[in-house]
Amino acid sequence: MENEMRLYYFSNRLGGTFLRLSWIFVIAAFVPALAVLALWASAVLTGLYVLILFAMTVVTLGMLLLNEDFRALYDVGGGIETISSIVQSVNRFYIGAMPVFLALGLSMCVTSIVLAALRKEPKGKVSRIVGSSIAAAMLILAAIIFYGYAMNVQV
Amino acid sequence: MKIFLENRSDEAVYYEGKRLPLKKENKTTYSAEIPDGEGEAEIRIVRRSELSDKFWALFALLFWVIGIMGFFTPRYSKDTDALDCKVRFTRRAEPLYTLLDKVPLKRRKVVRGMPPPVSCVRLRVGETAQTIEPLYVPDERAARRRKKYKLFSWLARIVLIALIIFLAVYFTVNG
Repeated sequence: MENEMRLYYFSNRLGGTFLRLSWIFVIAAFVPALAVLALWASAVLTGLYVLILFAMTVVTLGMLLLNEDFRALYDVGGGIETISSIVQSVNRFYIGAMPVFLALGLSMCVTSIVLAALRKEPKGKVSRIVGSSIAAAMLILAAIIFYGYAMNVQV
Repeated sequence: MKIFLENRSDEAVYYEGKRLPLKKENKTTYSAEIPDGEGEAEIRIVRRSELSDKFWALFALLFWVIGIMGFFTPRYSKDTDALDCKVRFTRRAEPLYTLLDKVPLKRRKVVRGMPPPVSCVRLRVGETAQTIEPLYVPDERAARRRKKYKLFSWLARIVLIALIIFLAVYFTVNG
């Protein structure tokens, strides 16, 4: 009975730890997608910014354009270039890192599911299986987004 | 014959040395089924904290490392009370149900001026069974070990994080 209880506690704790760790890999796997989103967001915000500047110019009948400092505000290329280089760096890193995150994350999810399925104790069994399955699905989705799109983003 | 465990109990039920699988009946009740038969039968209902195991320190250290300084490993339960109860009964032709209540913490202990502790085994009216040690017993050793684990865990985290920051600054400054 002692050994059986020990094994039960060990497998229960291992499954729980792996489930929590797998969510770290899910978050890490979504970083390239978030970087591309940040690039889009910066492009949209830059567009809004230029629109506001243009509105100000129109309202002042172009008088503001006589000011050199105001004209310099229209130069927005630097910001987008910075974000673009960050996205490229992230993509380069993830070409090597994504398979590792995917392998580790999925193996932890599968282990957690198997350990939960083998439990004689039903308490928390379903929630652990569901949680691990969702984590695995999110990992696969992050990988699809990266290999299908984010990796090929060029600016 | 069925044994019901109420209120998401985390007790284990043993029959003839084998742990019985539990089945969920509804949100708060689980059941274990004992094979039908004749004559006397005995079940054992056990609840024990993980921290009462003799290898607790080894497992705690292992999961502290795997769980990245223990941040990602499930917490040890605050409820360390132990239970090791035997129920002896004579099997009858018709089904016999024994109910097991998860007793609230404050009703388990002997407290001056309060009613006596509640037995964890509640039989239906008309049922007869002999219960041996049906009360929860505080596991002081497990409670102490839980405090020790928390203390050493936080100390180790502070030391390790300080070391990482020191090394990061050192290698950044020195190139």
